[in-house]
Amino acid sequence: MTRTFVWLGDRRTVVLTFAGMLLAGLVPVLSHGTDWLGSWKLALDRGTFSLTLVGPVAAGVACTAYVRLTTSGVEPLVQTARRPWWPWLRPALATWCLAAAAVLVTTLGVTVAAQAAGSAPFPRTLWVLVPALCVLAAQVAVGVLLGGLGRRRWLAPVAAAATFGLGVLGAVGVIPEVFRTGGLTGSYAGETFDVATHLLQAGAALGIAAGLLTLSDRAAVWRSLGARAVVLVLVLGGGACYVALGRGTHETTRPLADPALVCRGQAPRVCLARETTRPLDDLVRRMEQQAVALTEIGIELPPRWVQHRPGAPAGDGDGALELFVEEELAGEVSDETVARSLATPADCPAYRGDVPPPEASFDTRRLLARWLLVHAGLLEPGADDQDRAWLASGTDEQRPWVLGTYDRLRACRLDELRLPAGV
Amino acid sequence: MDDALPSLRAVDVRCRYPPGTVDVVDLDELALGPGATGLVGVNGAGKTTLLLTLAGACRPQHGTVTLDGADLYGRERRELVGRIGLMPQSLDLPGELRVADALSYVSWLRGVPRRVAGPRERELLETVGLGPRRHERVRRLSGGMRRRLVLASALVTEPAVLLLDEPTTGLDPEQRAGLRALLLDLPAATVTVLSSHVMEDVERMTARIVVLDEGRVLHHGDTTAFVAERGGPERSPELAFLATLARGRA
Amino acid sequence: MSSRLAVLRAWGAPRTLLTALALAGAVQLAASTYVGLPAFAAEIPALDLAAPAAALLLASPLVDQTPDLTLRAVRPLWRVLLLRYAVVQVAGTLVLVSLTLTAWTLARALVLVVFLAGSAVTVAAVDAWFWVPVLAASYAWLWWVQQRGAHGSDVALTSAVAALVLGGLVFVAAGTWRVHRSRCPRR
Repeated sequence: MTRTFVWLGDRRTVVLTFAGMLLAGLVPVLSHGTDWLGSWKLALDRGTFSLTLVGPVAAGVACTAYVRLTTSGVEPLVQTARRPWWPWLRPALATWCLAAAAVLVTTLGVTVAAQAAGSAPFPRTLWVLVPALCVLAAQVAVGVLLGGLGRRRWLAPVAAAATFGLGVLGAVGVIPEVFRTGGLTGSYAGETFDVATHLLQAGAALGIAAGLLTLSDRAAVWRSLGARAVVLVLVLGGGACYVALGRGTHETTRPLADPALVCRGQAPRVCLARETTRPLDDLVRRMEQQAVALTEIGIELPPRWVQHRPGAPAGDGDGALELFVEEELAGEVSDETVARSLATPADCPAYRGDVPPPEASFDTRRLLARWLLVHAGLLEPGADDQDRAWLASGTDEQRPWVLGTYDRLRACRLDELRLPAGV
Repeated sequence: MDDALPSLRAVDVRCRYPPGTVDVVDLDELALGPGATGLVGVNGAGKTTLLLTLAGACRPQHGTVTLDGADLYGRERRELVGRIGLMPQSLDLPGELRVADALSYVSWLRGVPRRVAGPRERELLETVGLGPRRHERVRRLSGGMRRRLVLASALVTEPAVLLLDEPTTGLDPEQRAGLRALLLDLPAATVTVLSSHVMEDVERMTARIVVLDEGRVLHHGDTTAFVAERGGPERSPELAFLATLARGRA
Repeated sequence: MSSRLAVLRAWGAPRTLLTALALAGAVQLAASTYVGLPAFAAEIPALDLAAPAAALLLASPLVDQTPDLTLRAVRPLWRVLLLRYAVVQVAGTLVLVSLTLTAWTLARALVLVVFLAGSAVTVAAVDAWFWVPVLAASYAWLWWVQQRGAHGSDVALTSAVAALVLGGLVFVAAGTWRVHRSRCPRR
């Protein structure tokens, strides 16, 4: 340990640096709260997202280490070593190791916590850490370049700010998003990480890292034939990946071809994507409570309600679960969401098409949802509500409209939907 | 000792670096008057710590250090420290500073009045041979040149007490001769302490000698007599030092 | 004059002022740009990045580059520290003025003063490693601004002055204490 981390400081400094990286990485991870508890894949995404700050901190630490190295007078020793690139790159490797450990510990922490909270694990997606660690190498290399060439102590915050700035430049589209890892605003329900995009990102990051490390001390890195060959391959390959990444759209996630579902309950049967099953029990309980009103008036419920997943076609006859992302990840859902879902007995193509459904269909579904809430005793219509009188009328009066509306909603005959008279 | 002349005294001084419990310096009494005194000892004998303590940069855990009877770590600390010049083994001057700026900065920090600072800095740079390099960056200086810049920094206040920690390290023979001449040119009243491993330098540059071992003073006296009495037939200063060390340890 | 310039150079003041000018120019260039950061639900004005950037890039004069010399300073230490703090805040004023020349109100721009005061406090706590907590705090602040909206990040003049004074006090007190502790190790 002492030899590897010697340029980072004594043991106490190394431990404090690691703690600093860990704490800095937790800031972006926890900025959304703990929503990632509801999806193991999202937790993994958030673990890699810790690089948003761990990377800049690592760049600053690397910069400090290289300022120390270049001003200590050992450079002639480095240059006369048998393999000069090795002693030159060792502080970079040490910084990378420390930062990588911080990212891995963070990722381990959040994924274990997500699993403990009931999210199904997907250990096969752990490969996404590899491209993230390649990005970390590029971030560290930024610090090495600034410290190795600049040789001034005050450059450490500049290196950190520059590394963070590269992420911002990627986010606004000035450069390809090489420095972005994680940070998806979704739940990963029915989705997974896109291999091709991450491969391009890893390649580009490694190319940048190799290029910057070589520039930091050409005499040391460029001397041996083997090192030259490795650098050339990485830089040329990385350049190609960088160009490819900058062209067209490269999504970091893709829909699963055959997403797995977890179903519970009988009347109604409720199915959520395997990635986001945390609210399932609560959802089943609330749907059973509200569905009673429908079955009591003789409505036959769809065989199951299924969570919508990007790219997945709606099953014939399935009802659609209309959950917000926060609800997919939380342990509980709202009664309004449940009512809205029960009022969507079919996942009509019009709901997700380019042409919006007729205006009246929105009002109709909204009234149906309110009717369900009132019947379950979960809503008391307000004095000013236009539908108050109809909602207060008897079931016999309401039944024909509810039966007809539900029938049309199941058949996706949205044009035929009408509000009851007087509403 | 003449009351008008400066005198530096350390009485019952114990220094240690917490959390360590061993005293790095352990003196009953050390009085230093005008003229040059050599401070010799093996590595780790406590020379640098003693110099820092005498310079007002490191208060001892026990005992007092006085300059002309006034406590160096008392109420008059700032005024007293201004009268003491310290040439440490290395000085953390920013490498991107130019030589003249570095000396001006030291001069400002050490409270030298502006009207005298400019001419004095120019004169000092000439004295230490850095006049032609006044616009050069500190990081571009060789080791010996840096030592000379540090020496100029120590002299910038025209100190009554000058403490030199290994001043000849990194200097070539010509520069060492120059340093010797410079010390001889100092006002006679200046209390000079020169810490060194090079016994030849100590013999040539100092009138009195202090031998330090494990923080304790083994010998304090006239340098010529020290070499004559303990240096054997060859009158070797190294031999005198080794003999003193052996006797003290025995 | 030359000695004063030398002092400013020793603290890195010219470099800091140049950085401040560059930041002020960048503020004008990015005045109407919005940035969509990963995981942020909404885009944020690029100008929101100015205060964190200033806190990271303009604070280097606060870090003592010559601790050995400071240990033996004859000038009153509090005055030396206060001057270094003033250099940083003056550099920050350039960016502040640039911010107020955009659509930003003074109240919105004053967050920069708070950020620089924050940098001083973190320098007091962790010295040359100040940028690590500042970086983390900057991200948290950007997140907070995005949640609160434009007016949620307004800073009252009195609060800015309070931060300015408090930051300076903490910086000077901690700096003085640190030097005292080095000069006078525990008995």
